[in-house]
Amino acid sequence: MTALHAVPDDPGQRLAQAIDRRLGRSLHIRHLDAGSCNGCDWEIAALLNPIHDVQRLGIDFVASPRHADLLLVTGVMTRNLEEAALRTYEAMPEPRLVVAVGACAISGGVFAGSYAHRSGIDGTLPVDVFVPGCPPRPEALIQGLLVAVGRMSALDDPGGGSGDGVAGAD
Amino acid sequence: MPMDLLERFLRPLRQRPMTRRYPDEPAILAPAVRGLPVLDPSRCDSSAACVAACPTGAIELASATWTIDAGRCVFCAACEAACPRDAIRLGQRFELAARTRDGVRIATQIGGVR
Repeated sequence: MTALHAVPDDPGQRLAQAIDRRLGRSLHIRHLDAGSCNGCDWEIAALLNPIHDVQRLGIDFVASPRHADLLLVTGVMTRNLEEAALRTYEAMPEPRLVVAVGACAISGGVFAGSYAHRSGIDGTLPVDVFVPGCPPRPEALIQGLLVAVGRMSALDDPGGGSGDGVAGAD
Repeated sequence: MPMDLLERFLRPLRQRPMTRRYPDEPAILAPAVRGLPVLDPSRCDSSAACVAACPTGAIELASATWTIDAGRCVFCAACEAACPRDAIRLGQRFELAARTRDGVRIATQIGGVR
């Protein structure tokens, strides 16, 4: 684990640092399906099972965006859900984080280029962490969430993210 | 059958907790797990068969750089199957989270381009 640097330039990292400070590194998540096939959503559901059990890491899921620190978005961002996604984001108290889960949320995946959606959530919501996968396995989601709060290093972090299966957490 | 029943009652008492300790310990991956496609630059002859085979257009081949966009990749292994020189293998690397869109584009330099 590379320790958090003094004042990172990236606003996402600064936000992660702020959350880190204020929330004692615990994290409450609101999951938002923006038109996914449910593959990513099942992997997210697996985070709460006895095998992965993210609650051991201080991470939990909440029922309302008003209680959430982080919005975990799956799916291609269909036009029908765009306004609902924006209103969900606006309902969250600051500081807030957005994590894009899976190829669809990042780029549209196999559906990229369709008229019916935005080919990824990046154009609608400000994404802090991208978690690739189709779907990302639960460990990849754990890594993405811990990257968002600065407890693991990302691929594009300075000095971090060799990411070759070596766990980077302290 | 009574012994079988006794065994069933005793089994949970012997069982260890099933929770895995990732990220404190490495993830336990089944052999079938597909991770990021990895190019062996010494085998690649820049035929671009992988670029044509990729269903999501995740692979880019510029002059001396082979780039896989993990944000598009659906880990289908079509590139692995299409490569005439067996230069691509899907490894088991899954820790791919990045803070920027460009961060999930992973480049490999190709040595001798022909």
